[in-house]
Amino acid sequence: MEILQNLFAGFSIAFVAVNLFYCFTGVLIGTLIGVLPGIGPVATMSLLLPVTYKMDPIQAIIVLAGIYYGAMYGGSTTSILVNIPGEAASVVTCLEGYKMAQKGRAGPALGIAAFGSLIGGCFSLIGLMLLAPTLASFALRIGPPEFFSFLCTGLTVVIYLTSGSIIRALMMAALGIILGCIGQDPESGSFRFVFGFHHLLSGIDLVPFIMGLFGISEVFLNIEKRLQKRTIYEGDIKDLLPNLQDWKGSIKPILRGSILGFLVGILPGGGPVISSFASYAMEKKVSKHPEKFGSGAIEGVAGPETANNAATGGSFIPLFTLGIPSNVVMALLLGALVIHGVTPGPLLMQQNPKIFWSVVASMFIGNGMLLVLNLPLIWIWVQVLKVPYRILFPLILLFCLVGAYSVNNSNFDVALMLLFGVLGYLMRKFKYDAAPMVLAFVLGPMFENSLRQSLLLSDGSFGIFFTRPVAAVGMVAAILMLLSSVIPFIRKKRRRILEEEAVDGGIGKIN
Amino acid sequence: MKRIMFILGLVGSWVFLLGTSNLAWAKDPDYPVRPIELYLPMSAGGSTDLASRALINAANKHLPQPIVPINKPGGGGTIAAMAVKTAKPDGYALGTITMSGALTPPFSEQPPYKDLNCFTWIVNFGTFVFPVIVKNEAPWKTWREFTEWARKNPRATKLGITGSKYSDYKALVLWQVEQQEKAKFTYIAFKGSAEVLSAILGGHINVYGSTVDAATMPYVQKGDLRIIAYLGNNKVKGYEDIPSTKDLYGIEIPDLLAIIGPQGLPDQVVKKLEEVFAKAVKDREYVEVMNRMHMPVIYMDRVTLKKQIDEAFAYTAKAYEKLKEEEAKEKK
Repeated sequence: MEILQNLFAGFSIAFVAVNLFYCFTGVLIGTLIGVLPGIGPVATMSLLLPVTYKMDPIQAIIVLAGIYYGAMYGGSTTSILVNIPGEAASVVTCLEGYKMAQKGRAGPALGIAAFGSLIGGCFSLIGLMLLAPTLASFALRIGPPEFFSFLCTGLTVVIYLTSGSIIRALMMAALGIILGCIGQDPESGSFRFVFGFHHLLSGIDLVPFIMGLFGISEVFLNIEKRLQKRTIYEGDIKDLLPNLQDWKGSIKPILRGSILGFLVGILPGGGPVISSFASYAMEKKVSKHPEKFGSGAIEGVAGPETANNAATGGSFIPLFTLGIPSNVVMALLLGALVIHGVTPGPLLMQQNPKIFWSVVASMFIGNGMLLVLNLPLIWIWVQVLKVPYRILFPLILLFCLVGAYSVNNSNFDVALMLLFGVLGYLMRKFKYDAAPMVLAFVLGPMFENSLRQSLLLSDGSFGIFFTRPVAAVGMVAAILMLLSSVIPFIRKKRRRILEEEAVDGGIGKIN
Repeated sequence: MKRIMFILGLVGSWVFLLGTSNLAWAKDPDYPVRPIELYLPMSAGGSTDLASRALINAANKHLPQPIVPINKPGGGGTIAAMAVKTAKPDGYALGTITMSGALTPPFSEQPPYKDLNCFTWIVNFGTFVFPVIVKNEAPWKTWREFTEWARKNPRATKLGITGSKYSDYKALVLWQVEQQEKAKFTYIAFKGSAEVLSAILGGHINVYGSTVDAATMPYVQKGDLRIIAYLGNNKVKGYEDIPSTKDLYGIEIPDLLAIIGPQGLPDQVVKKLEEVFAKAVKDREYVEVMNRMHMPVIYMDRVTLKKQIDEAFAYTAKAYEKLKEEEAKEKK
C-alpha cells in the first residue's frame, strides 16, 4: 500500500506540465540519437549534463534518464532497416531484424521491438519499485569470483551468435578477446599492444569498434554494388504491425527477455549491451527451430530488444539504493545528483523519496510516450527502405564519423573506426561473423579482471570459484552450457566423418 | 606651411597606426578574444570533471569569452595532457591535470613526456582526500591495530585500489607505507572508486584505498564504513582526528588539481588566467560543489605551484627508483 501511495505521489510530480515536457524532450532526443548510428546516449548525456545544471534535480534526472531509455527504443530502428546498429545494445537486432526487413517485414520487426521495449521497460520498473532494496544487497554479494562465473556462462554463448561455421565464430571470439587486451594492464600497469599510441592506453572504445565493424563495413559493402537505383527492399512492404502469428512467437521471448535483462542490468558492469546478447543466445537455445535463426526469426528481435530496455530499469537499482553506478551512464546520473546537492547513497530513498518515486513515475510515462511516438513513426521509418543507397549511405557515413568522434572527442577514434570498417568489410567478404567478436570484446576485459581479482583474493587458489555458493552455481551452469553445446557438435562431426569414411574409404574431408 | 603640416600629419598618423597595429598583432591585449578550450582528463560526471566544470562556471563570470570544457578521457589523463602539450601556446587550449595524471606517466614504460617542464603551470585549484577505509565491523579500530595485524598476516590485507603502482600515485604511497611497517599488502585493481566501494561493502576486500567522493562518505556517516587513516596530508571535514601518513611517517602527497597550458605560454596570458582563477576559487558556488564532493579547495599561484611540482617530481623519481630496486631484488 505504501508503495502505491508513494507511486501516486510520484505521478503527481511527474504529471506536472513542465516535468512532462522534460520527459518528452528526453525521450525524443533519446529516440533520435538512438536512430542515428554512432551517436549514442553516453556522448549525448555528457554533452547535455551541463545544460541540466539550471534545472531542479528531479527534472535533470527525468530528462537524462529519458535520453538513456529512449535511445534503447531508437537503436533497433537502424538495425532493422539498414543492418547498422543504432546503439551498441542493438547489435544482435541486426542478425534477425535486417533479414526480416529484406523480406518486406520491417514493420512487424519494428512493431515488436517497440512493444517488447515497452513491456521490458515497465517490467523492470515494477521490479525497481518492489524489489530494489532486496536486489541491491544481492548485487553487493556479487564479487569478482561470482562475476567471473557469470562471465564464463556468458562466453559459452558466443557460438549461438553465428548461423555459419562454429569454428569461425570461435576464431572471431578469440580475436575479440585479443583486441580487448589492448591497453594498460590493470594490475601491473605495463603496456599491452599499445605500439606507442597513447590513445590505446585505455583500450579501444566500444563505439568506434562497433560502428566500424557494422556501420562502415556496410557502407563499403554497398559501394561495390551499383548505386544508381538500389534500395534495401524493392517489393511492396507488407503489414506494418505484428500480426497474431508474430505475437504468438514473441510473447515468451519478451517475458524471458524482461527477466533476463532486468537481472543483467543490476550486475556491476552489466547493462543493455550484454543483456541483449544474452537474450538472443537464450532464444536460440530454447527455440524449437534454431535453424530459423539467421533468416529472420522474430524471436531474435523481440527478446534482445526487450532485454536491453529491461536492463536500463535494472541498472537504476544500484544507483538509487546504494549510490553506486553500475555503468558509465549511471556514473553520469550520479554526477548530476551531486551537482544538484542530492547526496546519493544508502539513504537517498529515505531522505529524498520524492526523487526516486517521481523519476520512476516519469519513466512509466516516458515508456508510454515512446510507444505512441514510435508506432506512427514506423510508417515513416519503413519509407527509409525505399531511399536509394546513394543518398542513404553518405548520411550514415557522416553520422558514424560524428558518433565515433563524440565519445572521447578524439580523432584517433575516428581513424580506429575506419580501420575496423576495413576489417569488418573483409570479414563479411570471407563470411566471418562480427557478433561473436563483439561479445568477446565486451566480456574479455571483464573476464580477465574478475579472474585476476579473484585469484588475488584467494592467494592463487582456484577453489574460490567453487567454495562460494553463488560462484559455484555460475560455474556449474557454465560447464553445463558448454557440454550441451559441444556434445551435439562433436556427435555431428563424428557422424559426418564416419559417413565420409564409408564413402571415400577413409580420406575424410573435414569441413 | 600647409605642405609641412600635411607631411607631419601623415607621418604622425603613420606612427600612430604602426604603434596600435604593433600592439594588436604582437600582444593580443584583449586576451581572450575567442572561447578558450579546456581539456578534461576524465569522463563527464566524475569528481575531476565536476570540479573543473564548477571552476569554469565561476571563472567565466570574470571573462569576456567563455572557457569551454572538452572531455578527453583516457590513459589515466595522458590523452588530455598530450592534447595540451601539442597545442599552440596562445592561451586558447588549456587543460586540467591531476596528481596521478602528472606524476606517474613520466615513469611508465613508454613515457609520453619525460619531465613536467613541457607544460606551463598556471594555478592549482583543489585536491583530493585519500582515506584508508575499512568496514565498521572489521576487527581493527585504529590504524595501529590494523598495521600490527597486517604485519603478522602478510598478504591477508586485500586492498582495493584503482590502478597499479605505475599508474596510481596512491599505490606508490601505500607501497612506501608497507616498507615502513614491514608489512605486505595484496593490491587488487578495480576500474574506479565505485567498484572499490561496492567490493568493500560486499565484504570481498577488507581495505578501501581510493579517493573519497560523494558516493563513499554517506556510508562513513551512516556508520557502515570507518576511516582509519589518510594517505598524504588532507582530511575529511569532521574526521580530522584520524591520523594521516604525514602525521605517522612524514609521507606526503602533493596537492595537485591544476590548470596547465602548453610550454611557452605568453606571460600576460598566464597573468590574466591566474588573476581570473584566483577569483574563481573564492566563488561561493564553486566552494559549495567542492564541499559536496569532499574535495579541499587549495589555491596556488603559478610560482608556488611550479615549486611544488619540481619538488614532487624529484621526490617521485626517487620513490620509483627505490620501487624498481626492490622489485628487482624480489625477482632474484
